Amino acid sequence: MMDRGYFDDLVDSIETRFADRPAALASHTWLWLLLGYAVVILLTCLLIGGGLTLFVAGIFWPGVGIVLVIIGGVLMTFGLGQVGALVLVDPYEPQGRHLRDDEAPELHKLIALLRRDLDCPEIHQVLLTEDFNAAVVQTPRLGIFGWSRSWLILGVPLLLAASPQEVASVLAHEFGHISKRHGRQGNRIYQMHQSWEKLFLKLQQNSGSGFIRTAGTFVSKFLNWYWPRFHARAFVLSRQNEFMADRIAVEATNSDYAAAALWRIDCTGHMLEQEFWRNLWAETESSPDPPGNLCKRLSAAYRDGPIAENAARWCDYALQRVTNNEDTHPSLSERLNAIGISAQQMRSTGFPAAPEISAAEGLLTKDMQLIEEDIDKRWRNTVLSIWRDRNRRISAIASLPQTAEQIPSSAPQDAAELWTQTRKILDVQGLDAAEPNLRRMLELRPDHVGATFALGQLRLSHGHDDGEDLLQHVLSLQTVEWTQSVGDVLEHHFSKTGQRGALKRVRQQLDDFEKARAAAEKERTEVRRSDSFVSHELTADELKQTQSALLKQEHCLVAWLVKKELRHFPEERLFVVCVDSNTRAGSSLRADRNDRMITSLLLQLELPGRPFIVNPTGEFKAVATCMMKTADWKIFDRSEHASQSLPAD
Amino acid sequence: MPKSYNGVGTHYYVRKNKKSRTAVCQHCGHKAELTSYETRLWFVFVFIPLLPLGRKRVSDQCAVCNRHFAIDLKQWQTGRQSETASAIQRYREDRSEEAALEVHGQLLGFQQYDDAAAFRSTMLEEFPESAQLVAGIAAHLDFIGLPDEAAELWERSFRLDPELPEARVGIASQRLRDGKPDEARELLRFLEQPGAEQQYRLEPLFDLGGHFQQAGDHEQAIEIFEVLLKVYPELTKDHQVRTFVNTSEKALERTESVLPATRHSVRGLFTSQYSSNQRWTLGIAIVLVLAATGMAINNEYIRRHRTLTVINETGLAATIRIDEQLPVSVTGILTLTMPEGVHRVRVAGAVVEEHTLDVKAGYWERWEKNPVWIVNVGRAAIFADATIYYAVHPRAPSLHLRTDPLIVKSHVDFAFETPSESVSVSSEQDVRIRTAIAWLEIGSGPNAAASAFNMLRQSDQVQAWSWAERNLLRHPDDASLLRVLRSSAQPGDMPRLRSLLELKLEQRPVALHWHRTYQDLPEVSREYEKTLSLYETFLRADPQNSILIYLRGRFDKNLELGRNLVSQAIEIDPDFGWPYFSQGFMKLCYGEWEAASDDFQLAIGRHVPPDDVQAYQHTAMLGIGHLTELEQQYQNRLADDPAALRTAELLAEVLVVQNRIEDAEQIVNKAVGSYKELFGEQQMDSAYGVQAMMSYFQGQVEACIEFAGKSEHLEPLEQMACIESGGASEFAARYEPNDDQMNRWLPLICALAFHADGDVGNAEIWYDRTLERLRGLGPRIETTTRILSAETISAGLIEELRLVHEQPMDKAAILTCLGLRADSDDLRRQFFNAAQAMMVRRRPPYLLLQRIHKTAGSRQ
Repeated sequence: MMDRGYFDDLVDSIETRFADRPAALASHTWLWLLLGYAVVILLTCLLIGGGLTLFVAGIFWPGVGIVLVIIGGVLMTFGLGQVGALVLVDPYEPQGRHLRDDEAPELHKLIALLRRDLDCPEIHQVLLTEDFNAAVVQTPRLGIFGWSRSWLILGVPLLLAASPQEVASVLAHEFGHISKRHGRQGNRIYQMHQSWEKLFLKLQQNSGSGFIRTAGTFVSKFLNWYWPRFHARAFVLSRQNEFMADRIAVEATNSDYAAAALWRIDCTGHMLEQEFWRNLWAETESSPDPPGNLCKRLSAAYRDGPIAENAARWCDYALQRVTNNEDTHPSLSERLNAIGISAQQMRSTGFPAAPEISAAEGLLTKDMQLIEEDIDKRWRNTVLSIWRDRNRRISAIASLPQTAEQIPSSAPQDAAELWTQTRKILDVQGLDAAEPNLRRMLELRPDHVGATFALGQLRLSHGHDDGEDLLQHVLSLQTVEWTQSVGDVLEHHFSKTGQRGALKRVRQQLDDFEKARAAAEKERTEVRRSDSFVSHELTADELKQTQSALLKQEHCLVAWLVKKELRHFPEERLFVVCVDSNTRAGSSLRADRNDRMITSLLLQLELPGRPFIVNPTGEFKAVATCMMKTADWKIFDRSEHASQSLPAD
Repeated sequence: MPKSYNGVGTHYYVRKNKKSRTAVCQHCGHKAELTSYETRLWFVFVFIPLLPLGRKRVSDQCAVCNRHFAIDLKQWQTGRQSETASAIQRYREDRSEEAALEVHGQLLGFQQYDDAAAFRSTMLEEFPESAQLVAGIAAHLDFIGLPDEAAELWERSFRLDPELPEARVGIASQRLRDGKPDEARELLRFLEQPGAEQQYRLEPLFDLGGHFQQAGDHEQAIEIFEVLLKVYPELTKDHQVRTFVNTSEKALERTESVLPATRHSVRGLFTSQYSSNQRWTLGIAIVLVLAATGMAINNEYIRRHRTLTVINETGLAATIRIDEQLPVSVTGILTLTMPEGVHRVRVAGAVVEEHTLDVKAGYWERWEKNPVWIVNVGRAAIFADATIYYAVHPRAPSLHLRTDPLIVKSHVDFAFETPSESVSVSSEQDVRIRTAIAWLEIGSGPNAAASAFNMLRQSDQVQAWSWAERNLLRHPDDASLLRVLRSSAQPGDMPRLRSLLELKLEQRPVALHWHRTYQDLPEVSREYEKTLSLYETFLRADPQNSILIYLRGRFDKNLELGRNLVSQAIEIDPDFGWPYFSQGFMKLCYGEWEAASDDFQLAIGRHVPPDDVQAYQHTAMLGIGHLTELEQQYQNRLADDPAALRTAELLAEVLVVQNRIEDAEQIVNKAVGSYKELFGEQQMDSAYGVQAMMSYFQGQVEACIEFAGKSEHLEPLEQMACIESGGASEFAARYEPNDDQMNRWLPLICALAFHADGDVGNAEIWYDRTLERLRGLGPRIETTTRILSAETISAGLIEELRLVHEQPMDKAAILTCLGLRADSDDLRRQFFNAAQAMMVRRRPPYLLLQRIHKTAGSRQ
């Protein structure tokens, strides 16, 4: 499979090659799409065609005919089954509150007008949701062969935030993706790409079944080669489609409304994410049930707007965000530029104020109240369980012994216990609530990676630069547990703040990390006689501890210890411990005792690295034999240690 | 899981590090002994391990259902260490409950139950108040089949935090096991809340619903499923869910269902709307329907495309027409396609025939059987209908030759194809029978039809005669077939043969061989005047026809007139060879060896087939004494054809005359060996004949009888040899007078044999019988008859007999017989000397005559 760096390079090269040539890109991607269809159809035809050939041959061939007819029938049935599996996939149907035909006539009128102007296929249903979003979702009736049904998803929070004209612009943008008048080929590829993505994911999940298992290695190899390359092309094309959709939105309304819509969505999105939802969810501390007036709260929040400091920051975030290869949507600034509006022009308008008449009022009209109630109810039902659970867990935390704030700094505290507590707070109450614990944690354990990561996140969310430094530090440590998480956070941050170079670097770092980690894991799970072993280099105390652990093992008679030389992450040492039980015992008893010692030693040994236990009777006896030949590596002999008393636990 | 069928497949052998525990099996749900061990997987044959397929770690093999988990041992050992070590490391860094649970899980996952138990105790001491940890451990224990141990921990976790969802689920499972679904429902209420699916897995609700149903509380069961259906609307299409809900609704006798109506669709086949069994059933049904359709089409195709094999071996063009279709020309073999039904088959051209052919077969027979329909144009072709036996010790195949005009067989295993070399049988006693039918192509060689006739005759005499007649009518110039037909004719066949021959008498140009054969028929010979008159009539119509003149001459009893007519024929047509042959034959009978030989050469030079002349020329050459030339000639022929038995026999006779018995024996043995190699043991009649003659040449009459007795075609030789060796009485007892016997001199030989044995009485009786026989043969032989019946034996009879047209050895027998009746020794000696002069051959009755001459001579 393709890694991030390769994918990024491929996307870049495609963008460069087809810059300002959208038609050529569409044609090129179309050919790739046809290639995929060709292979799938070819393989299916081979199956069905082969079956049909045998079937027909069997009809006209006396003697063995019946056998051929049956084999042909089986192949054809199987082939048709595979076609069915490809074509008749479970149709995904989006969920939402269905807008009836007799409701919101203004909205229906707007939709009809835009559909007519843009020559769009029929909208099967208009669904209202509790998300701050608008989308046209298409689900194919025939799997990868298309014939889609379209749903229009409208988030009521968006309707509450935006003006009717802005919503019209948004709808025009969405309809632009399915318009037959504009970029038809590109739109079709866009739809097919989604279908293929679903198929590919499905096949990846069920890689041992269905079509892939049937057709064998060739198909999976082909798909693994084909999909990322097609996806990269479709990705670039999709991005171009976004620009095209924006142009359609401008044509349908005007550039001011289109720009205003984009501006509002981005800025308000930040506000909702950083402020509204946080504040709302903070109520889980005091309220056992979620509120039932989400829409009213949203309206109020839009009306009040954010504080100036936050407003400015979010406006900057909106314009700073760079286009990345995780999302087909270009950055806001690029989109504004594309429709002839400069980022600075937009910035000068400041954080978008609530419209005089919201789209909800203007388009939902008399049905607005009922719809708001329904959405409130939907949202409430959706979050009820989570809300209650959080409330319960917060109550549980409250019943814990004192938090870090409450404990004087002079009092000794177990780092592990503190970290457990901190994680609970992080989990339930979030970063801000956990800040005192985090700082205390780092006082106790300055090298604590988890605490550093959490604090870095917190600082970053408040716009402090040191947050980035903390996170970069965690990333540099390349730990198994935290690297991916910190990478994701930094990716998001650099994307949001427009740091293209840093974004690319962090993606490359993540790629390198994944490869190195995989190699490191392989090194540590394969121990062979041919590996290079060196002296353990333990300190005297560490050695003593090890010996006492060995002494506690009733049947451990002798032990050797080495360190394996590692290429990847050598600081994460791997110690190979060879143990042997009573050599005079029968072979099966000796083998059994040696085997039992493995887990027991893993639990008892506390080495400054990972241990790997071998013995002369197990699967790694070759390694054990090699170690046992070197006297310098012998660290334990029961007969010599018998007189020593066990250290106190 | 290793699988073997009839001892072939995979199997585990040798178990090490065996650990057992009693727990609930994850596969079958029974509480049983679960065993884990290390073993090696083998490919086995008859349960004998042949190929090692790697060492495996078998985990939790259930004593009840035998199912288990299996993994490569090294992979297991490596994973056990690395994953456990990683988890322990994380726990040491973290000291968190989650890390502790992970360690516990790893230890249990790798079946380190003792270590897990110890670790568990430690953790429970370290985190005594952690409901989450306790619940996690309880879940682990439940998973590995230790519900009793888990129960205690569930209770503990619940006590610590009654609101902990995991604890509630665990306790609810226990309540369900204890048969208290109501209590379980209370514990699981939180899962029924809206949005619960966002955070929790709802599987416990499925269990709860199931238990309510089992307990008969269908109302609650439906309530639970209503919750689930609301959360997962797609479940309304799931087969299992629908069955479940329907069961409860049916129990409650509800008329309305919480489920929407099922819409059957093809798409549903690819979802859980139908069970796996239903999908498989549908798939199999589709395959069966396709197969049935295909087979029905196949059957219909076979019905419409039956094969008619037409064979035309008449040598002439013929056309065949089926019903109203266009005629099709056929030469050799042709296959035509026709549907089943009644058909009218018309043959035109070489013959005109019409057949009604009912082509039919049963529905299932169309697949099971291989019928043949064959049209044999003009009944000219010969078919071999064979039954072949395949067995460990098979018997010889049975073969039946046939020439039917229409052959219909409901089943033939090998129709016009080579049968299999072998067929599988199940046991030493098992015999598999197969049938075959093949066309025996006669070919176009000079003796092809004659050979075919001989073969056919062995199978069915009647059919063979009919075939020969038809063949001769189509190919009247086939002299060898005519000859073989005549030689095979029994007394009862003579009228039929005569009728056949008479068909061609009036044909012009004259069918020479037909006339020659006709003239030699005993009945025709007896109707001397009538036959002569017939030829007179022919000659009147065509007086200058040399063939007719020759034929007239050869038939006439007046020897001088006959000679003159033969000469006349030569004068008219000097290129006509048969008169020369006739002259040569006469001179041979006179003992004029040189003249006879010259005439024979002239005859051969004028297209008389050498084979027809060979025997006579051989006699002439022996008479002349050109032994070296003759020997060389035969040696050359044998060099070209080492299996030429007739040539070998003649050469042997030449060598025997030169007293080179051993050379003769060698020649015969070599020729017989070559013949056997070429034709096998099945066709040894000719070889027996040569061997019989060789034995006779060597004076081993008993051996001669033995060889001759091996073939019915050698019966005349056997009789002669038998008579010569003292079996005259035996012959006499069996003898029935038969005018049509080829060798009319057998009674005379018998008389001579009796005389040689000193039985004068019987000798006289048989002498009289000879005369009686000769009288019965008609006027053509009256001169010989008169000579033999002379009251007074005088030397003049010798000269008279010399001019009679009897072969030299026959004359020698007659002269010997007359000599024995002579009054004086001197006269006797004259007769015997004359006989000796004729005895240039060594064939029977040479030895008898020699014996008589010696014995009678010594008595003098």
